[in-house]
Amino acid sequence: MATESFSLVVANLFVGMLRNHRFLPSGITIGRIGYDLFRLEPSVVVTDGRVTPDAIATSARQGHALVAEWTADVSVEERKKQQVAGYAKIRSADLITYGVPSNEAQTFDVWIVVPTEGATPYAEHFQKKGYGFGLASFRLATDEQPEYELAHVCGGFSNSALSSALQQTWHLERIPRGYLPFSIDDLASHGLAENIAQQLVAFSVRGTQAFTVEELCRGMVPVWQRLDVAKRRAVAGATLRVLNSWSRRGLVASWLKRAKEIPPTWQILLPTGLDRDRFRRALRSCLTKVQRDIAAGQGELPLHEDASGDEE
Amino acid sequence: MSRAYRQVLDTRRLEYESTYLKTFLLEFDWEVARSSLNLTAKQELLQAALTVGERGGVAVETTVEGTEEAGFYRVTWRGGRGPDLDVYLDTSTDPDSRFWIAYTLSDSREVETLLDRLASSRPALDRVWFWPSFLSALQQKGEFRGIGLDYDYRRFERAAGAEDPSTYLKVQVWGGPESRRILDFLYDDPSLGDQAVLSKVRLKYWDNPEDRSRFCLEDIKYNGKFTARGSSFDAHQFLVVSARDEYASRVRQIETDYAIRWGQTDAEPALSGDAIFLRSESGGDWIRDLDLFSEVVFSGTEPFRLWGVPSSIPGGRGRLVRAVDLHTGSKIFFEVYPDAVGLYLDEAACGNTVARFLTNVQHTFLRKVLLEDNSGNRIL
Repeated sequence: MATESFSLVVANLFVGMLRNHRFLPSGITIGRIGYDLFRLEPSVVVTDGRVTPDAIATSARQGHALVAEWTADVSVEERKKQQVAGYAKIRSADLITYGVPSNEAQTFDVWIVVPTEGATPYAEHFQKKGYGFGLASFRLATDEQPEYELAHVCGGFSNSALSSALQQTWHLERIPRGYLPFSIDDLASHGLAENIAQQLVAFSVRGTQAFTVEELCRGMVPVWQRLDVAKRRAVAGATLRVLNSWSRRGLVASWLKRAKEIPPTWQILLPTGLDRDRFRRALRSCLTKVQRDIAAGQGELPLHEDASGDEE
Repeated sequence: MSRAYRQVLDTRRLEYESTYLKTFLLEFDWEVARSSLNLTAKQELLQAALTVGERGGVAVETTVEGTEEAGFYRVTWRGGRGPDLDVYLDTSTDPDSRFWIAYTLSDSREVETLLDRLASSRPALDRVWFWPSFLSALQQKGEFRGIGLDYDYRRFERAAGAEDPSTYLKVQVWGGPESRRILDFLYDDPSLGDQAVLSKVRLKYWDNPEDRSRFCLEDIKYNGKFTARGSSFDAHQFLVVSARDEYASRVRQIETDYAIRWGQTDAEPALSGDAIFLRSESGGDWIRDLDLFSEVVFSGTEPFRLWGVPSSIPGGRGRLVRAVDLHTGSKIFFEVYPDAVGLYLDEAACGNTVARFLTNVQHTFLRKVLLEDNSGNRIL
């Protein structure tokens, strides 16, 4: 069975909605009412602290900003409660201070997307605290139920054009997937292995013989420069575990060598063109094995073999 | 450059049956060449990039000599099975030296085989890929003298397990404007019309409409090979350079308009670029077997030169592929559905990859496909 990352799919859906992607029904595309992505992974200073939603979209035409957060957590844990409480503190002036043009931050709303299973706990929490955020539930497609579903749960929006797009239930046959090929919120996914393999092949074509984990991550994560230190460390750590696993045993071990401990540096050993082909074939087999293991319900072995191993 | 070439014409005796001037357009990624060959000096880099170890099992000596004109080189391959080969390489008339023009009077099959070998073994080098409407537009610069059509679906048939694949065609029709009707006739055929792709055009071209005595009769193939005869080298050169410039401009436009760029600082836009799509002219399903299509296209072999491992989305209605272009090492994300293929180009992606993908899908899978932007505007 194919598995998908909630965060990755919703992030791409959100960007697709802003870009009026042709795979989506036009009613859900908020780019057509003037919204565009202002920033991914913003860090906005508010009273008593800082909030880090997943994205901010703005529309000069609507004079409105949308602060968006998506989370795969189905229960409202303490950490999540604090995060959500932070969104209640945002004021227009905070967005303007962050850099949103004042004419696009006259009014704003917060939109939170959770898995379908989390809709009730979040709705109850919002009601209890009196939050008026727009809350939507999102259901990933499955082999048995191959449509995605984005459904409005509660709350509302101060902008009527946005309300008509988001305050309803959408059944989506497909969701654009290529804007963000990588999710920093889902480091256990086999998508991480796919991104690492892709970057290794790209390195091998470009003749890169040695690379640090940071260089690999920078090539792999489109918004690497914007990530805070904690997120970078998490991505680098997960990447390091995969590299350790692949280089110690298995199909690509002959081509990957740990060259230096600090900073963690790796060598791709590819003396001839023929070996480049073998290397690519080995990576292909490696990924096929990961996919097969996941399909067989055996977890994601190559990612966790060394889970207790190196950290950056 | 014209002066340098004239020296060649004046001093070199033409070999038997090699009287036609052959010219190849090539694309070269200097950055990839520098990093993969670990060299910086231009001539050394060219020497390494163009060196062939052997031909037919016999060692070959490759020399790259500069000429009196900067950026114009004479490349010679001596030895190996077959005749010595000479190519006169213009690397300078494209503003960033990316699109080269390689002139030769040597045996064109041998030169083409060698260039293809270099392109498949050196990531930096690629041929160019003229899609049918581009070829037609080139032909309209002169007078119609014929067409070539082809398709070859055997790669996909073989992957599907066919023991003796035979779905291929190669037709050339030379003649005046009336021979164009053959094309209409073929396109009206329900089967051939979906498959036969314009692969070559022949035209007669005058560089000066006032002087009908100075012309070239030019064959232009979809992989950027020009074969010329006639009385005017200037006419040939003008045609080649204008084709190169127009092609380069379209390729660069793809990179500028569609490569996905994520802003890394507050001063940059959060996101620029967008997805592009391949769909059939009829708008219906055109990829019946997603696995077969993905297996062939992303196998990392010629002609697509794309490496990737497809994964299935739930329900099996689509395949997602994080691919690498083996020409430049740039990354492209593909979404493969029965009715459309979505492409998301990495910021370092090469527009020539898109032309290569489109053109080879047309020649090896289905002719009637269009490349469009997100709003449905045709790109190529």
